[in-house]
Amino acid sequence: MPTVDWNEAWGTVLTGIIIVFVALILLVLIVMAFGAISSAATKKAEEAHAAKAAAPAPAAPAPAAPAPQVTMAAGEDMDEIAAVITAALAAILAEEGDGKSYVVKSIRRVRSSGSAWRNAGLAENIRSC
Amino acid sequence: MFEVFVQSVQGLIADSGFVHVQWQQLVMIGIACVLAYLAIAKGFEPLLLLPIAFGMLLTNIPNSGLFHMDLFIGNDIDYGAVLHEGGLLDILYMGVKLGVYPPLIFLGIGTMTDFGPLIANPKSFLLGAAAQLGIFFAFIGALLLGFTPEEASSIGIIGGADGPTAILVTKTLAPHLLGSIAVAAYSYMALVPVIQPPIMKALTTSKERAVKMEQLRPISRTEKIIFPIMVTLVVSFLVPDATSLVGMLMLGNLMKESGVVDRLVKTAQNELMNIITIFLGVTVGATASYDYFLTGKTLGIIVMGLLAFCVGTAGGVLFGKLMYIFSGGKVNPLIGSAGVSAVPMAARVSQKVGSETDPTNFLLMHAMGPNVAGVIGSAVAAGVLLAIYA
Repeated sequence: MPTVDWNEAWGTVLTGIIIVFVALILLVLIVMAFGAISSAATKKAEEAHAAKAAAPAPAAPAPAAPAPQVTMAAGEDMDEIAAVITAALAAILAEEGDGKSYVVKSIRRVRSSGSAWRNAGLAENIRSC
Repeated sequence: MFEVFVQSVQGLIADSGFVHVQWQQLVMIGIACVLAYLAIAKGFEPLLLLPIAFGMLLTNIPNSGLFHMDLFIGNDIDYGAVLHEGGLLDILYMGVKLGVYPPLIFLGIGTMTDFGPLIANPKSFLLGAAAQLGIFFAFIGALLLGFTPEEASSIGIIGGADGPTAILVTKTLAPHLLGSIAVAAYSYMALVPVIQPPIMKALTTSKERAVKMEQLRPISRTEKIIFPIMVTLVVSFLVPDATSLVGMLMLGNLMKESGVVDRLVKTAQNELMNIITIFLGVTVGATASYDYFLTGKTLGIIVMGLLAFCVGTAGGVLFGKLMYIFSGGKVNPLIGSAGVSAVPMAARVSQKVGSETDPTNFLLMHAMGPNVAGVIGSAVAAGVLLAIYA
């Protein structure tokens, strides 16, 4: 049986645990900081976009609904899809019968990283609405 | 003519395995068949366990000359001799010995890993770190059993639940134990659904297990692209020995998230990964020749490997309990056990145990954060051990 240098062994354990935690805590801090920056940038961009879109503020054909983010399928006609979404929301809210009126402030395209099959499926669903 | 025939048959018999076989080789062939059965019939990590089992079978066939472990022992390996005198598996094994295969496997894993849950909840990194406690616990345990520090490091890394990492550390520090450690590592990874739940249930209350966690925030593409670059820089600057593993893992992930090299991603995910898996499995199995495998050390490796898994799981769950307390009950401690890596099996176990308490509780995505953090954590731990003992 080899003689064990316990001083070195416990030193290895201590070093290992500390380095693993230090490395991952560093990553936690960096990811959190980057997440905060990214969220702030996104929020700012959304606010600017919303302000820009609010200027013409087209009234909905029926009691319209708030639709801050809508996923759009690639290749679809924006106006046509906006009309479909607005009509669908209006129908739903009319059923609820709360008597309020709504305005569509903005419809924003969310970048899709899905496959061509997913996009095709999405387009198919929108057409069938 | 008859004389020639008789002489030829006598020569064949004299060279045949039936004459030269030793009982230990038959035992090893039996073990190889059991492992192959577990891979085929029980589905235990079949992608690696099946080639490992067959490599083990091949290397224990008498006079096959496929693999010579002696060529790879020592600090001055004569690779010219390996090429001239070695068998098929000797030549393929150079990819293990030179540390080529494990990082390439990590490249493929990177193209298949979604770090989104980890980016959305970066505190998950801490659970990935806590679950590495098993590595260092088993390291001390192995030293107590009489292993050298290099061997103990290789045994401890089984607790990282990461096959390529275990292979990379062992081929460097204790190549004579590679077969035993790889078999133990992959067997325990396959047994994660059996090993972890009792520990998770023993360390948590039903109230803790029922905690429903908040939905994770959506992650932007920019964050996903910057993450692999950032992790590579931080980890590699801190622990340069972990660069080959973490660098390749993150390269694969960057290729995937960038979305501009789909062809490369598909190759890394499929053809490259599959080819390397075959080479890695069969050559690692080949190191399990009877003279290196059938020793008391293998028993010690199996015991310590299990201990490493158990302590790693307990470390993750206990740290999860700490997070539960400090977050005011917002973190389900069950996700901590996923920090032992074994992607995505350990995360599925967290989901399963959580849903046993409350079927409407979906922990899978929350557990994926610690799960992928565990991959990074075990690579860092491996880097530390290599830096100290290599």
